[in-house]
Amino acid sequence: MMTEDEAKKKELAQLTNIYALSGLLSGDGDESKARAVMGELNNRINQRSRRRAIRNNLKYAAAVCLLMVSTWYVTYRAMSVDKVPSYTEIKAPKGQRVNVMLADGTSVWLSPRSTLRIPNEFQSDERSVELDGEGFFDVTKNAQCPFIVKTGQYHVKVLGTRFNVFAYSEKQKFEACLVEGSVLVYNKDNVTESLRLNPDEKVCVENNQLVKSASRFDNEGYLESGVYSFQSKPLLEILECLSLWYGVHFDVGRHVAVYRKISGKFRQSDEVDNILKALQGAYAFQFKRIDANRIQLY
Amino acid sequence: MYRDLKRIEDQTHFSQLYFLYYMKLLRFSQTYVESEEEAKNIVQDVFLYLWEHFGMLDGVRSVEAFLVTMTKNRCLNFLKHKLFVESHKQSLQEVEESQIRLYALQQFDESLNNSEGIEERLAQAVAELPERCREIFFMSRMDGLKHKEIADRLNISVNTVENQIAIALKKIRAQLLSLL
Repeated sequence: MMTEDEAKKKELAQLTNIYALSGLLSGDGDESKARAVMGELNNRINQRSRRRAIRNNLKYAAAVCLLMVSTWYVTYRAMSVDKVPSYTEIKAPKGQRVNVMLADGTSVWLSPRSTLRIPNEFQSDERSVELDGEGFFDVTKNAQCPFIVKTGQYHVKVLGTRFNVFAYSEKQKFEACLVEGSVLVYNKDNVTESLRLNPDEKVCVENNQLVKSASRFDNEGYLESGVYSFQSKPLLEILECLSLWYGVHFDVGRHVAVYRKISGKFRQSDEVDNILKALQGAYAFQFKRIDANRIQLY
Repeated sequence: MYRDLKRIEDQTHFSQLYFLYYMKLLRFSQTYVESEEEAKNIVQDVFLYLWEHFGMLDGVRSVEAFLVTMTKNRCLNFLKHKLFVESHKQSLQEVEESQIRLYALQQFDESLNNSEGIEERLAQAVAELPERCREIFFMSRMDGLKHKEIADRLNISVNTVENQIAIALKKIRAQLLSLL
């Protein structure tokens, strides 16, 4: 049973719907009344299509904006590569040498346990590399674009030459030796502290000052062949080289006369033990390994 | 070329539909949506939608039923919005009236409008109304006059107008009973 309220509500709804339904009958003047308001609809249609056209144009405008922004961004990124270059780092393992050919044709021989950091792309106005260790550079000439070897404290600036730089960060010693052409060696923190080298001159640091002396870099052959030859060099200097190249530490006994000069040659790729054995032929001493990185001489 | 031609054909067809159905749909929507302005908006909206999706009509069997359904749905949305969002702005009586209209609209069966011969039956039922009754019903229904306006014009009371319209509706309903 429907309650009275519900029945009333239902009847009212039915009558309302009949009223609505009868509205769907055609009336006199329906068409002329519709004609009168057709303009309104046309306005709305036009407005809509205008708005749609604007929206479409906005789409294109947004696309153009996006293109411009991304072009700018890409260009900006490409330019900022100049400012913050990415580097490739090349390391020579202990006891081994590495030859690197740079993008500009420059060739670099790296001595054992040396590191060379080269930018993936040289800047337009200078070619700079960072060196920790020893390297022999044969620089392709480019007068517009100097080549700079940066080491811990001193930089070597050249246009196109062959020269050797010795600058292991673990050693105090800095040495640059010129074979050909001309180089400028300067303190990175104080550019006025500089020296120009001529061929067969070398510069080293004594008492925190650049000192020039005559020297002949005769080890180009060693770089090619890997055979290190030395003429009347003190044992201490050779041990220092070995220490750098093989990453070992020598405990030298009191009785070993380290300043005695010796001559000879050895193959760099040999084990340090073999080299010491060869040295034993030129100079009498005994040695034993204490551990992987320490060798005692006595 | 073909597209232009099609466009012109569509425009002509669209105008014909607009002339034929605009007032019918307006009367229909105004039954549920009290405000004339809102009812006009709803019907124009229906035609705007029809214009932008004119291709839809290709699969439609009865254009009238299609338009009525679209109008009904828009009226439903309007009433629901009015009831649930704006009800706090209205008096209790207004809310109640809106509720009844929403209920009626929900009960409105489009298939009734689509059923065979409904228009003839309806027209006949209206024609069979007593003359005075029919006159008042037409003034209200077709001319969209308010009860007060009819009362003033015919020099009778508003109460009489309302009674006559109620009588007309009940007589029409009796005629349509087999269909309802």
